[in-house]
Amino acid sequence: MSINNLPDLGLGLGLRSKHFNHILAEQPNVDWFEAISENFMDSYGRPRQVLKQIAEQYPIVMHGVSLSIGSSDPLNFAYLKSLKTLAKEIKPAWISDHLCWTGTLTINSHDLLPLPLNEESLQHVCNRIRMVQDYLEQPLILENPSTYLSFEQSTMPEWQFLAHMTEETGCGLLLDVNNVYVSAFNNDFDPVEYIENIPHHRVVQMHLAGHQHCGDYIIDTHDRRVAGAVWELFRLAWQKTGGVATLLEWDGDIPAFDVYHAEMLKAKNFMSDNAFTGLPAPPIAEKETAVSNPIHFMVAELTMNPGP
Amino acid sequence: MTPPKAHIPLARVQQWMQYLLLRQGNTLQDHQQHLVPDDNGLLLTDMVKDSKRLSAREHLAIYQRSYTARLRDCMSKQFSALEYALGEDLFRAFADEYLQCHPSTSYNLITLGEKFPAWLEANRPDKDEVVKEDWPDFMIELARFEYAIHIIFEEEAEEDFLPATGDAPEETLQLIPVFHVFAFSFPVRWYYQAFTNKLAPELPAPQESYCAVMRHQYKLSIYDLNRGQYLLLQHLLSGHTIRQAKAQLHNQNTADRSQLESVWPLWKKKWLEAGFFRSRPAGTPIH
Ligand SMILES: [Fe+2]
Repeated sequence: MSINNLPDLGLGLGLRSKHFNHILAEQPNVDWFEAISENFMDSYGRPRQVLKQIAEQYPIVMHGVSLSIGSSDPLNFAYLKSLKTLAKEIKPAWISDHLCWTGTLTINSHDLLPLPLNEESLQHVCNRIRMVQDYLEQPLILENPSTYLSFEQSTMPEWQFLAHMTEETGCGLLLDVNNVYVSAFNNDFDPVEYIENIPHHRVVQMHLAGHQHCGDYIIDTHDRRVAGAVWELFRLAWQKTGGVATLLEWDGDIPAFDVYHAEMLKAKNFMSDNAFTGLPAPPIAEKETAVSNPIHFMVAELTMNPGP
Repeated sequence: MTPPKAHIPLARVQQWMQYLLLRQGNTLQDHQQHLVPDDNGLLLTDMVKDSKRLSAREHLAIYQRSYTARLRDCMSKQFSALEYALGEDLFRAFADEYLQCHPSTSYNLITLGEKFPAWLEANRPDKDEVVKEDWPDFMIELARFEYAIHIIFEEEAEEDFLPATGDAPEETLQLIPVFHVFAFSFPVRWYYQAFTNKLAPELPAPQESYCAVMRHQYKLSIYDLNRGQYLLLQHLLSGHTIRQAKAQLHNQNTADRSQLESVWPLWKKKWLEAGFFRSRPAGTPIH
């Protein structure tokens, strides 16, 4: 049970119900797909059936949003059981979730909420990662979330928390480069320093995504192309990690499959040896408000015969 | 450099933050005073840092806005016909209040609206009036139907079967695994599908209606029924054979047996064509 044996899957796309028919019919030349675990775990309708078919033809990674590894509530073993059942069926290359909490006192906010980053939360998270890895019988891969506040109770930067966490538990990292950029802007830290200091050998996968700049803050909207500054950070992360499986997240205003795929393939332009020379200035801000951490998991799109 | 603030245990930090996400409407004043009730007067500025551009209050507000918007959005996707029927503003007011009363306790969003129809029933605007209006009844029926449709779409059931054909002996016919019937006091099926087909339906007048919702090869189909058909199918759903179901229907109906026997061949033909049945191998018990 080690992250060292995990494959480099190449450039992948998020599996979205809007594209189900296209993927089944055209079998596009995509390296791999990432499925949001909760969209399929307790579903026995068409989405799970489609996932099974796609998993026969493409490598799949299961990406969750509800593990709540940082919650002070006990671990939800009903959730883990359902997750493990799906994993047995789909045989994902790995299972990932976020360094966050989603609720406490049995309530679920359906958001990826930030943790105070200190010794107490580090030990709490590490204990729970060990339990989850033992239960799932495979390493857990955790993603840095986009954050919109910092706690007074934090005593270490996030990159340091991640370094200790992976060191102590052997878990892997899903480095979301866009989230680094978003969190850095919102919480006044340097995204370049963050990318330079995370434990690069622990990074199993990267995420890219589009965000919305609202002037005084940035919202991780996943509804547009990747910002220039995020591509530059990706260039740096690619050099530091030596290149790992990379996925473009797109959850709002999802474009046609080919447009989505073309945006992902742009990543190839940032894998060269051209030195990282710094981040470009952000574009002009939009003032409208946006919803953070888009629900990439949703009420299913119904498939229905025409009515009577 | 400012000295670090006193350590506050993780559980308390989380309860504090969650309280402010869930109880937004009730704590406007608490926010202004930076005070959080039930938490020994923790100050917002004890918990959240100001940044170069935003105050602690503004940082927290990003999460508060997103919490509400995200769950509202889920409710409107799960009850899209109801949202159209009520109008966006009224739907939103109901959904917000419902979410305050029943915050999600499941990792699975499909159950977010589970208690919404019952909540609408308990909180109908005319609940204290002696003479009730019609429209809340329609809204409650529509909410039940929309929720049921989503559950039926995802329900666990055998899908790997062939529908029965016309030459299957009648005693071997049984309903397919995903098959549900509904009775309404409004034309709910008509309204739902008119909305789904973007026909902008008007609020309907009361009128009894019945329908069946079935799933085969992961696709849902809806069929209109009359009252007799609804009752007969209900008997089949409770495990009776066609012969038993017809006898039951005969007993509860004023219709005489010959009348039922004369329409039955037509019903059977239409239902076989529609894929209501599969054929049970001879000798297998019905349960
Ligand atoms: Fe991500």
